[in-house]
Amino acid sequence: MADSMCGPSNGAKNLLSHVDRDRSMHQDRFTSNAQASGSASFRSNAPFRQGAEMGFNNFQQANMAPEMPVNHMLPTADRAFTPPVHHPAHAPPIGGAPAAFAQPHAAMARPADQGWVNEFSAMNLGPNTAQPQMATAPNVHIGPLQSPWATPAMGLQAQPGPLFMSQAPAFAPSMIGSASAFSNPQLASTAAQPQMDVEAFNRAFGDYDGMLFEQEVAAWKDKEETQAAADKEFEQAQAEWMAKHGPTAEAARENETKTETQALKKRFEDEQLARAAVDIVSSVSDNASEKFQKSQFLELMRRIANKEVVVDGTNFVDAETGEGLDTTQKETASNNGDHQLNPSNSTTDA
Amino acid sequence: MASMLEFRTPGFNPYAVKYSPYYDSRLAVAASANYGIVGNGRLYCLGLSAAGVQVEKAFDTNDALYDLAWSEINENQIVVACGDGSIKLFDLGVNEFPVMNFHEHKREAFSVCWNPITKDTFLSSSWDGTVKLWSPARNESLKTLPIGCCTYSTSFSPSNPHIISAVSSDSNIRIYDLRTPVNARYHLTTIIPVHAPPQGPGVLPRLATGETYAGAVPAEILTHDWNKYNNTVIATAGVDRIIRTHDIRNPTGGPLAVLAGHEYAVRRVAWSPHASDILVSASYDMTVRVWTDGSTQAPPPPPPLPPTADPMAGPPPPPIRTGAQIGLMNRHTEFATGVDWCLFGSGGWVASVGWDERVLLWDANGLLRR
Repeated sequence: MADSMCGPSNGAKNLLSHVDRDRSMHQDRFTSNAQASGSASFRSNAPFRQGAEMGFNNFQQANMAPEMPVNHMLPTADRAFTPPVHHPAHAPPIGGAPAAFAQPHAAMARPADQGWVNEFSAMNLGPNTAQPQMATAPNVHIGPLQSPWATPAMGLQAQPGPLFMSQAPAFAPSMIGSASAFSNPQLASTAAQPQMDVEAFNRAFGDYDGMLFEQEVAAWKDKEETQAAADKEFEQAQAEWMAKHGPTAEAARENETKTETQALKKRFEDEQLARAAVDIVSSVSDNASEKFQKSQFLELMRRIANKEVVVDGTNFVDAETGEGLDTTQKETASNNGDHQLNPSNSTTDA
Repeated sequence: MASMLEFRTPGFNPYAVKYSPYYDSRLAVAASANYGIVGNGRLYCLGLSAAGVQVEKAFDTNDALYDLAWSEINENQIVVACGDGSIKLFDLGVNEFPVMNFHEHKREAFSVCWNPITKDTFLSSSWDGTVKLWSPARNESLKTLPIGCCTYSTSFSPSNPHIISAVSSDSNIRIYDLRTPVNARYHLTTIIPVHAPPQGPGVLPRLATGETYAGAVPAEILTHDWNKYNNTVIATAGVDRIIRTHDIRNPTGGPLAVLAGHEYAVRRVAWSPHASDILVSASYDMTVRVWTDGSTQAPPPPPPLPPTADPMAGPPPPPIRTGAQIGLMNRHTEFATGVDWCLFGSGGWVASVGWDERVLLWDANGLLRR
């Protein structure tokens, strides 16, 4: 928890917060859609669909009570939205609706050409299946719908709702239309299927098992072998090419540059060490005490500062001879303990 | 000088020494080859016997060792701070290899400290500018406290397991309290600018010697230690050669005491576990010195007011104690890098190490001026 709240900022963290934010926005959108409430929902399909379903059910039940279903299904917000200006346009429930409501259903928005529609609806439904459902459906079934829906629409015209009512049935038939259009050929074919000649089927398979199968296997084997040979050839060629141009060749080339950079890095480190040694030596240069003059560490620093000693791997080596340096303290330092004791005593007494 | 025991660490230059909190005859030394510049490290566990100081166990590491801390909960375990940034937990019952390796620091790890109260965590500080809190049973750190600059030393308060201190190259003491919520300050509760002059109304305080104390040029702080008796007092020392004590309750009030005497940077300080006013310090001037911070003595008389002082300004601030050096151990022939008090015995045994590859055990009482 702590890490997500504060701490050193980095790119990943920022990205994470962006993702979080985006997701929450998505959620917002989804929830508002699902609830289908609020002023924005007039854009959504939900009320239409609900209305459509209800309308469809009613349509299927054929004898519907016109006052009942649609108007109290409509969200108040939608009702409130509908401008009164549109009412006259709704006297014919289908014709007026699309003009008023261009956005939600583009397909419906196309002004319905009644003559064409009627002509079309007179035709058989079969050929329509290929066409986009939305474009065709509302028009196709307008005729049959008109009668049951016209009444409620007219009856409700005092309220702002009718617009939707007219839309709802317009949508509903699209389902009917598509359903019937699809189901017919499908049903026909599935019904025909079981009636296939099983015997002929079996016979064909028997022939295949006996003879054709082996032939085919042989042919497949031949093909596979030639394919394998070709693959092999290709792989060899590829390997050759890769050896010349591939990453291994590059790595070899990189190794050269790497050793160069390593040498550079080492020289840089040597430089740094030498500089540090110079600092150390100069900082104690004014100290004339015996201990500092005899200090092996400071002697080493002096030699590093003069570039007489360099680091090689994990050891100090003589820059000239390349011999390893023995940095172990000489025993003499502790053997002349009495000598060492004297300055300490004198300092203590001082 | 009184008796002195010696142990040599040939080929390795010691960086730190610590007495075992469990045994009076056991101590550990963290050492590095080639003065810690390049090469390996070695951890020595030494035992005192009738035959002198002897190696009980030694562990080699691939990188230099800069500090160590004994486990407070297991008498056989030691953590070390390594040059590669790793913290390693060694067990004296296990040969060769560490039993745990904690590797999160990106640069050299400089100090480790075991929690002396709850005993279930330890701290590490590093050049990468962080202090990390660890549990010996977990590979990942429990907490990371950002400091922002090279942190040479970190420590638990000896009286409160939640309070952590750290000193760094930016010349500040930082106090963290893990009970505070993790907000933008990451448990940071107090920053004590060690070298700043005392803040507040009125004139600057004076040292007991009569000089005006106006702070100092900020310099890297290399070491610090909590007083074992006054749980708000911390001693710090570093590049500017002066040891200072501060009260964490008054972060801007300036030092309580100023102990001057070392000729070069001070590498380590340690308060005595036996007396509230005694501390010992090891320095790059190759000496180890024993000090009293003067807190047990009568406060120095207030210096006479300068004639120009405004009589209406109120009483002048109390003078800053200057402490006193009460002993000097000059046996090391290279930089003295580590020092620690023995918790047991007559109360005065000190172990010191230096780059002369020697571990010296001596009785500080023999040094004291009488």
